[in-house]
Amino acid sequence: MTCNEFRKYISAYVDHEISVERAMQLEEHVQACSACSRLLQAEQWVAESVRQFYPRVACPPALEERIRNAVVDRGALTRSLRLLPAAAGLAVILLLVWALARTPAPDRSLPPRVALAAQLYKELLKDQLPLSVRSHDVAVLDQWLAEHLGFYPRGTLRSPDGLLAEGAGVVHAHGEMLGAVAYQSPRGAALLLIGVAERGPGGGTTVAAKETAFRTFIQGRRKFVAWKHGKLSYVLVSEGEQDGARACSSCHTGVTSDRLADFPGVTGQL
Amino acid sequence: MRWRRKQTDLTTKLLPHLPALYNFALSLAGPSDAEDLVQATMLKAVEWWKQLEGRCDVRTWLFVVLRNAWIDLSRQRARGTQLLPEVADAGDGERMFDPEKVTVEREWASQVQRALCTLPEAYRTPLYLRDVEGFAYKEIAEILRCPLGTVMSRLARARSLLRAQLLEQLEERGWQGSRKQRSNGHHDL
Repeated sequence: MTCNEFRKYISAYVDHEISVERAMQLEEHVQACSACSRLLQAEQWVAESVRQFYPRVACPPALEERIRNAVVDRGALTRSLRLLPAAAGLAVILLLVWALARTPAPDRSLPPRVALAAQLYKELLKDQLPLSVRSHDVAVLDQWLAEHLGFYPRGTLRSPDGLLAEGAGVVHAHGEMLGAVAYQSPRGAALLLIGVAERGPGGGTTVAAKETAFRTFIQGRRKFVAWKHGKLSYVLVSEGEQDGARACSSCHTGVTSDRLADFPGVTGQL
Repeated sequence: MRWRRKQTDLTTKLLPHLPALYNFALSLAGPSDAEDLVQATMLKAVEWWKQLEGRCDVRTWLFVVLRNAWIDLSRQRARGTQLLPEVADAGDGERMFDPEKVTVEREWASQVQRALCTLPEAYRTPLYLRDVEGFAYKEIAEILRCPLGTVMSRLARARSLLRAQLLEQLEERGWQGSRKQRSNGHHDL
């Protein structure tokens, strides 16, 4: 081993970081080279000086507490951040609820003709509806309406299944004259409002049956079926389930439950 | 629950390394930044403990983190290493009380620290890690993120520089034997 090689490995030798073989080579060289021997002593002296005398400073007592507090704070912050999405979600929900609460409710007002039928139905329930003629005989009511309304097609009114005619009257509203027919049924009273209308009421749920569009409005337990046929418009009010066939058959004698095939689309509920 | 576990890990696994970390931080950055560096290192260790546990040597990892934190801090401030702290009194009570000996040792300790402080960081840190903290070369290479051969050559160079510094200080103080040692060292090198 040369002196240069010795100097290369001297630190590793002092630190016991070389192989046994290499260490033996160094030791052989030291035996033979006084300069490298002194160098080795100097190297060991420096290493020992640092190991033994380099001052270790005591850790400040407050540092440990400071670190503990920092960990606690970080934990609290982390937990807060973890809850942030949930809090944000809750805030969004609350905001939506607030916005919905502020949004005016959709206009559930009924079309004028339907609203009139609703008012008359209320009066009928209170037995305050002015019926000019009272009879269970549909022929009597049919004739009376034809005479007093003028536009009523004679001989078409019949008592549909489950509906018992009670009476009829004439109502003046919005500058026009309308006919009102009161019925009784096991499910409660029913009212048919008949008027002249070039246009049927808009809105509602529409089901088309042949050329007739049936519109359904629900208000609480009450169900309104409105439709237009020719120049006449009808609104049938009841609290029971009202299907298209029954609505139609309250006017048209030709429409019965056994002829529903003539009214495809109205077999279900309207 | 997770936070409680972190607290426990901090107490049992990490805080025992606090004194060594603090001294290493002092050797790198001086007293003004040492505590901040140690705190940052500990917080990172707590945060990463789940990933660290059982996968690496915690002590080595802590030193890596602390040194990286110091490098970041130095870059941010674009300044060199600050002055090192005064020689600590810690440890005196463990020795046999001999006023003269204690005085000499404290003075020499101060000389050693001052001499080490004058070395460039590239030489000072491997020497500190080896002779003060007792890390193996392989661990030092890991902390410094450099090849093993670099550690070896830097250590050799560091000791050579330190020897010159110490001998010079001995000479200035007229301590016996310094001239002879200096003569030997310089001549041989």
